[in-house]
Amino acid sequence: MRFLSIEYLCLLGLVALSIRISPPRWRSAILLIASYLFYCTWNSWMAVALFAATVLCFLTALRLERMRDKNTASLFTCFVVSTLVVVLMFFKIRPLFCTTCNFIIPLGLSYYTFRLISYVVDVYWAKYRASENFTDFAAYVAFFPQMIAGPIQRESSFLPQLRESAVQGGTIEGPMRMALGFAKKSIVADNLGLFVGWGYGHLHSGSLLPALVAIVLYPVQLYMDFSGLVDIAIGSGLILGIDAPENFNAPFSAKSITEFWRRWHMTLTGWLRDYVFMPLRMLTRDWGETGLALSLTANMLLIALWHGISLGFVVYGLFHSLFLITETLTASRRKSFYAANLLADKGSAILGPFYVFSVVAVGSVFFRAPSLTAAAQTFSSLGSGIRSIGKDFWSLLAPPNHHAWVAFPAVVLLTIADACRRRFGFRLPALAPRYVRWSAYSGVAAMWILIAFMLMATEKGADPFVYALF
Amino acid sequence: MEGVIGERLTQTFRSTFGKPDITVSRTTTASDVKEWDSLMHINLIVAVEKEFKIRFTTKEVMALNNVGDLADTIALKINKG
Repeated sequence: MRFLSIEYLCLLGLVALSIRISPPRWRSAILLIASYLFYCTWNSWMAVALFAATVLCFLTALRLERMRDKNTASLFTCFVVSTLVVVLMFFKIRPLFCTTCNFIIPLGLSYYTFRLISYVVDVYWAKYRASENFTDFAAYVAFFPQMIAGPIQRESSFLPQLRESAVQGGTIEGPMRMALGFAKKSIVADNLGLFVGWGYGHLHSGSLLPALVAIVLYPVQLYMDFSGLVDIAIGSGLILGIDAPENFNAPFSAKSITEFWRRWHMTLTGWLRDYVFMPLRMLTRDWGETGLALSLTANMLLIALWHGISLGFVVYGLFHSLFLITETLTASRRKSFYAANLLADKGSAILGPFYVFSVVAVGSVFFRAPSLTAAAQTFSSLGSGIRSIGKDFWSLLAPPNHHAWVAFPAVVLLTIADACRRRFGFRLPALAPRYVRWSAYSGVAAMWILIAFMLMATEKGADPFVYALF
Repeated sequence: MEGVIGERLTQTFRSTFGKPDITVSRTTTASDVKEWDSLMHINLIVAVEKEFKIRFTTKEVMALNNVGDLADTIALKINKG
């Protein structure tokens, strides 16, 4: 069952209705049944694996709380976490060794593995108490809107919401958020994808245009695709009474690569900060700047390799870590310099986003190109000159790309809509008159009826989400 | 913050963050101090270790929720000797 499908919308509507008309104590059970139903539509055997991992971590956490001996608790935690990591690595690495094998990667494996690891480690670190309610815990691990692309929500923010007496709000902001995600994906990401695909397919056409189009548009396509997917996940969660953490905060407005990574895929970077970077920094704290550089590189490499095991991702991780290390080691000197030179400070604030976009765009070539040779080809095509640029331009706008230009005004409109959402939210004022509330409900309902017809009209639905692969 | 540990801890905060006027209480958390990110957190831990001549474990550092927890952990380690 895909996110952009009539089946998914029906399941979501049915579950939303069920949790609103049934007693609050049934909420976890309803969410759990719906999540496993969703999971079984992909693969029933993998649902058994998900259930087994859930049981293992639930019992581990309860056992850890009762352990008196610190060393035994430490070894026990290491064993369980290593088991989860080995299973994750097995599925990530296996395609490298068996390219012809037809095997299935469990849906959302990375996401639920990260949720389970953070739960076990948090209980070991005595940050949170182990959950004593298996249904609540299993509903958290398998929560279906977050299964395809996160966000990676921690147990401390999810479980208390299950215990609230009534489902709060969600009637307007949930469907609106989902519609925003749908628009980002189907109007912008899919159309920009046509241009990016054309760029990578025409690298030898004779001008620099294909390489330029591919390099500049891919980061925007990736952002709109992934943030659209997360919007749908967060909106679905809101409809079911679960408020999830944000995963993006206008990443291309960042003024440094360090800031960019605080605004991009925030739940993954936050997770790695807490469970990888901080423990690593503690281990290397006596090594000075070398320890800092090593921890940053290891963290960045893990972020890159989380997407898949390939040389391209290794280079992508190293490329970004180079900027992160340079920025971190020069931070105090830059701060002093800008404090003394206000004009330079203002200049850096204006130029910062351009610098960030350029670095991200260049780095994304290693992310998108199928191999390092293809990445090198993309960069070398930039030196092709402009002799046949006119011919290339008309080829760019030829079918099937002839309607794809709609993505450009849509990027602007959706960026403004997203900024307004961050600033004001999609919530109706608490004391809005009845006619305002019902007008809003009718508008949202009409919009979703339209979207449903669009989904039914397109036989194959929207293109697959780029990030659903990870 | 009150007490000997509290005063020494405040001084350590001031020198680590380079802010001579910073004040911390038991309920202060990283979100209350603008520059207190993950990098500064380790710098602070190293500075505290030097100041009190103690050594934290990763588990102890990761279990900290606020400055009060930090002060309690320092007191516990000093008393253990």
